[in-house]
Amino acid sequence: MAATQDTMDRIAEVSGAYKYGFVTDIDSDKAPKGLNEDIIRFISAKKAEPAWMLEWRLKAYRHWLTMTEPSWQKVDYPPIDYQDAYYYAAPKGKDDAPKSLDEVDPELLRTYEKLGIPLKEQEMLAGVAVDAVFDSVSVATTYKKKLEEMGVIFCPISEAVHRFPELVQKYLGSVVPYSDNFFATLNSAVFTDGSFVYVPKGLRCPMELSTYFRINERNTGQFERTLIVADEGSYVSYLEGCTAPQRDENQLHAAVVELVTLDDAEIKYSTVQNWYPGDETGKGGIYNFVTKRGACRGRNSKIMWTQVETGSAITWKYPSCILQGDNSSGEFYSVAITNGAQQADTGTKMIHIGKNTRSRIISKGISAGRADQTYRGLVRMMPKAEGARNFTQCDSLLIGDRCGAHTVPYIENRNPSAQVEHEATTSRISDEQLFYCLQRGISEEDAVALIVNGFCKEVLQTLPMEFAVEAQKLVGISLEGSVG
Amino acid sequence: MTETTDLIPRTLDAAALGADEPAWLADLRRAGLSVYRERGLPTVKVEAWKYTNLSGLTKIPFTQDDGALGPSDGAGRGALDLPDVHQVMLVNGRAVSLPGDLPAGVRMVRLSHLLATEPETVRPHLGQIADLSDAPMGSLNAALMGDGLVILVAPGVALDKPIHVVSVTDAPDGARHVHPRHLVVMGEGADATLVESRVTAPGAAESLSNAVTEIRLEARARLRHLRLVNVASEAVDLDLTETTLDADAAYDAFTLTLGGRLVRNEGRVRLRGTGAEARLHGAYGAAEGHHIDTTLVVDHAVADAISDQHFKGVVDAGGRGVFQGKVIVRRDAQRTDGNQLHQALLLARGAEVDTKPELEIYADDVKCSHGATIGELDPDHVFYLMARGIPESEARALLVEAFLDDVVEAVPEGPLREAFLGAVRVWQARRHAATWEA
Repeated sequence: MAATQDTMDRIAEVSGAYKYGFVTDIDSDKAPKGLNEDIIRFISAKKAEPAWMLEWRLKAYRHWLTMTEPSWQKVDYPPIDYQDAYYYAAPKGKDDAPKSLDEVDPELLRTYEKLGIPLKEQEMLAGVAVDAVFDSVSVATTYKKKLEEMGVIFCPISEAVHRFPELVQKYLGSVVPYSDNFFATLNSAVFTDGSFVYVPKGLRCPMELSTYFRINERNTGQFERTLIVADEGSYVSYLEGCTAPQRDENQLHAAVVELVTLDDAEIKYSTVQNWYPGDETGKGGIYNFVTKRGACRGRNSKIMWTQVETGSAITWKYPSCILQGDNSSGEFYSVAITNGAQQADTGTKMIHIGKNTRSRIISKGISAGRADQTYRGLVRMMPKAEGARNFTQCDSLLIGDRCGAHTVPYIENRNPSAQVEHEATTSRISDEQLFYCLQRGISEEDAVALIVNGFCKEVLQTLPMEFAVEAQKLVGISLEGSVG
Repeated sequence: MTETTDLIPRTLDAAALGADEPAWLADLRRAGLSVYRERGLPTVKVEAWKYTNLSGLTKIPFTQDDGALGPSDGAGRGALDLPDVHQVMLVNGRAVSLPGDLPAGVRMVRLSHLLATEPETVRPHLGQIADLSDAPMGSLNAALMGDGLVILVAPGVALDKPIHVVSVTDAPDGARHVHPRHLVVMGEGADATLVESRVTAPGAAESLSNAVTEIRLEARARLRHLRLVNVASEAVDLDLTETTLDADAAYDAFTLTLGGRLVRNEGRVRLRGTGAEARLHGAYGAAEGHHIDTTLVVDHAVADAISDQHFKGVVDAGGRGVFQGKVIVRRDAQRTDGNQLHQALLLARGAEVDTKPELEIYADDVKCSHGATIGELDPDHVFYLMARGIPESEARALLVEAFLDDVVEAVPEGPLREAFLGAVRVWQARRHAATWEA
């Protein structure tokens, strides 16, 4: 019938226009500056969250108001005005983005080139508004479909709140409670997005999951929240971040990552963090204040953290493992490079609760320029951790005489059958090593990169292969200008 | 901040402090009082006191020692038995007997006596080293300091035999707190061995000894500083020793702690002359109800200095050992050699060891390392001995003894080392007996 067709057309037109208008509305959305309960209600409303989620956020916010910012870490920064920031801003529209690579900072492009990143990916990383669908997008969709068929849930956490509320309610905040620490509590109140992963029983996730494939997630913003649950007997490897430098106007990043492994499950979590470190004088740059913690809840479960930290003006981060299940194990491999005026206070915590729990900490810190770096770690053997073992090695390398490298391990043992070993060394690149390389025609800068890569080898080896190759190049680039 | 009155008489008037003393000393007391009143008794929230909780002290009805006690019967029991030494006995910091046959150039006097007769001799050194701002108990000592011992060795003088200070804490009629203050100044090129036995008088009530010792080693001076802390299970014994080394000076310290309700040996060493060397070694044994804390800070302020820390601990059920060591290498303190090692044995369930070995480094051409191990006796070692017909308890005792003896080797060979090894053996026998009773 013509009339019906006409009506349908009209409805389509109206709803289309409405939809369009709605999209435009979202695009221009920005909550006013500052932080109060209204802003939190606004964020929650924007995401159309269920009431329990809003309640949780508000509970966190009210608790946050009673907390004071920690000051024990060995970093210096001017006080942060939490009321002078936007807590919700829709992703940048295509109009603000550079139109082509010609408009992108040449310094950034030079780095991409050194890392050997393909042109299309360079455009994506630099945030160029690309209209054409390029490979990664289709790749991402293909992968997503395949994963869903196998029962792996891999989606933005805001989507998971709607689609899998019982899983999110069960695990969110179960490892890092809303009241955990100043920055995690702030995150609990205002987190905007992040990833949610659930791997079903007995499944070995056949591919590395990475935010990189979830391209709608590129602008997850400053308060990211990630939750990964590996059910009994499952395995997943998750990659976070990117070797290429990312420009970002947000000063403060307060992310939270929670991992849960049940019986016989394993999570491997790799991070390459290369946020903007600020300029030579220490102006600008990201404050990366992150709470990452994994709970090995099940027997024989395993969590492995690998991190390569080269960016950010200030890093404050202690990926930890709570080893509850008997025979569970935690591993932490870290390379942290600070150059220029960067400051990093990073390390791990291994809390041994279950019997025969194992942990291994390998930390390599490289400090150059006028940078300061601290390894801070805790190993705690609880009275019931029969037969638990820990081995810790933290080595520091100093390049230049204006930088600092510090080690602050806390070792607490309350079980006689638990064994803890800790070793630490501090050294510098010896003249002999350099001379040996120079003599063979290797430039000084390449020689330093070579030696430092050797120093970090144990850690870089634990990264997935493609990542490891890029990370090696990154090590060299991060130390540019630190010699000679 | 609310005013803290812990251990300080509520009526104490800052203006009246040190009224009959030189003005500079009164200033020092007031400075200490103001820091202590601001900070109060350190809580476990204070980083340096994270593992040592003093809150129990507020429950004990202490009165401050008046410095009038003489030696009681059996005072000095538990001290090292050393032949051929210059021996002096202190009761609550005050010397009750001073040796008369000291070689020329060596003086051993009461702090109170020097302050009364020649305060200018003391002034350049007293309170000059200790940085009170991060030493809450040191600041309390500054405010309330009682008597102490001053040892002055003239430049170039080498002592013929060791000095042995038997330091007795006594509280015959109810809980007392005492704040001894000692000073050791070694002139250029001087050489001495100072042995200390810290003990509690038999039958004493609960006590708190909060001592501060300042040691100044001028260029090329050399001091071997050996200590036995063997206080009663009711005693709280806090000690802060600050040592400053000029160029090419050497400080060799060894501390053996065998018990005490709460013992804290806090050592701060400042290497401020090139070529200076500090070796801080020691061992401890903590049985049930004992808490033994070793906190060391070695500050490499200049280039080309050496430091070495090595401590070993044995902890039984209900005991707790704490080791916090820190090496600071300042900017331009190049070619520093700084090492640190802590090894602990947990002998039974209910034992606890907390370790925090820290490095803070601002220079690149340095060799610094630290290591820490905590675990139980190696079952393979026990098995090895048992396979040779040695009963398990004896095998374990032998291994514990060997573990501790290894570090006692830092004590110079001869009667001194024998005395320290003897103290370890007595402690072992006591442990052994206690195990059998239980």
